[in-house]
This record gives sequence, structure tokens and C-alpha cells, in this order.
Amino acid sequence: MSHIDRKEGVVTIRPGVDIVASACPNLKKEFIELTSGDNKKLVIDLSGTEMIDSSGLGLLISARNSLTEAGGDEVEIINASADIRQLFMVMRLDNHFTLTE
Amino acid sequence: MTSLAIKEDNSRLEITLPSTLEAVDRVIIKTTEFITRQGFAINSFTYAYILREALNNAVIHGNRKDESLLIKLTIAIQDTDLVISVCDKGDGFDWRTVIKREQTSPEATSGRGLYSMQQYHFDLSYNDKGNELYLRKKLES
Repeated sequence: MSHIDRKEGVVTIRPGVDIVASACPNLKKEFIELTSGDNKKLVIDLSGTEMIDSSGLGLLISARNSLTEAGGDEVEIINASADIRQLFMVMRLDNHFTLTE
Repeated sequence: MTSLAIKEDNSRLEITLPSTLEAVDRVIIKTTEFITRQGFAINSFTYAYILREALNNAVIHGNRKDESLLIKLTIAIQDTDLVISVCDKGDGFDWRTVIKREQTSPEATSGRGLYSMQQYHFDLSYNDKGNELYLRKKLES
């Protein structure tokens, strides 16, 4: 189960596992809850996440889409490894998330 | 947990796996160890990522998660190339049309598997039926 912290409209989730197809069903339930409320900003802490596959990318994009539809304005990704930051660039998604080192 | 069937010699690894995402997780560990043992300077993230995409496609789209249907993965070193094949028992698909598609929309939540293989510069093809994927990439020594 992910570590979740809520503070003044900003919710931070740290899955702590690889965000891959086998893990996505459980993670999806957590992300749906976080993006359907009054949160203005979602922070995804990738400490402990070594791999994201295209199912995982789909989950993060779905979270961003849901947050935007619910009136939120930003998804920030923190503590991503160099390989994962490179993945976002290769897949041309780096302009659609705030990637903070 | 269904077991993996593994055959390995010095430069070739063959794994037969059931069509589950949990089996994919276990295969990725085995294949990463195999590729690392070959002594090439590689980015293991890239290969693990591409293998996941290939196997996820076979499990989800090819065999539609039918655990009774097996998937055969072969990884071989041929000269300085890494050669991968993934064969499922599905009906195949029109892969030539799919790989010509434009880049997936940033809002789309699926449809990035083959695109990512191309973006990481793997040579990609299928058999005519579209149920056996072939990938090739030159390894740095």
C-alpha cells in the first residue's frame, strides 16, 4: 500500500514499488481516490520505484487527466531516477508533467 | 504459481511462461541477469523496459491473459547484436499498420508499447500473422 500525505490541497503519494502492469490494478484504486476529491495538486514521489512500464505511464496519465477534470492544476513527479526521467523524455511526456529532481 | 521453463546456454536463453503479469515480473529478473552476464556495457533499464513491453503485449493482447496459453521468449547474442523473439498463441494483428501510426496523444492512457520500442531504437518486426515479435539491437562492447 502506498504512503499518502495530504496537506492544504496538495496530496503526495509514494507507491514505493515499480509501477508496472502487475501492480497497476491496486495502484489505480489509490490514484482514483486521490484525484476525485478537492485536491489541487498531486505529487507522485518515485522514491523506491525503479521501473515504470507503459501500463504505469498510462496510470500516471489517467491520474493527470482525472485531476484536471476535477479542477486540479498540476501533477508533479519527484525523486525519479535518471532512467525514468529519460523515459518521460523518450516518450515525449516530459512537457506534460512537472518533473522535479 | 506456475513455474517457468528455462533453457540456457552461453549465448542463448529460452523461457516459456504462462500468460500472467506476475510471470512477466519473474522473467524480467531472469533475463536481466542473463544479459548482464554477457559482459556488454548496457543500460539494463532499457532492456528490462522493452522486454516488459514485449511480454505485456503477448500476455494482454496476444493470449488475453488466458493462463493455459503459453508464451515463448528467446534471447540470443548474435555477434554484437541482441536478438529477442516473443511468440504468443493469439490471432495476431495488423502490425504493419499499427507501427505506422502517429505518436500517441499525450492524453491517451494506452497504445505506447510498440512506439516505445521504436523510440529506444530497437529494430522491430513480426511474422506475417502478427503473433511473433522480433527485436534486434546492437550491443556496445
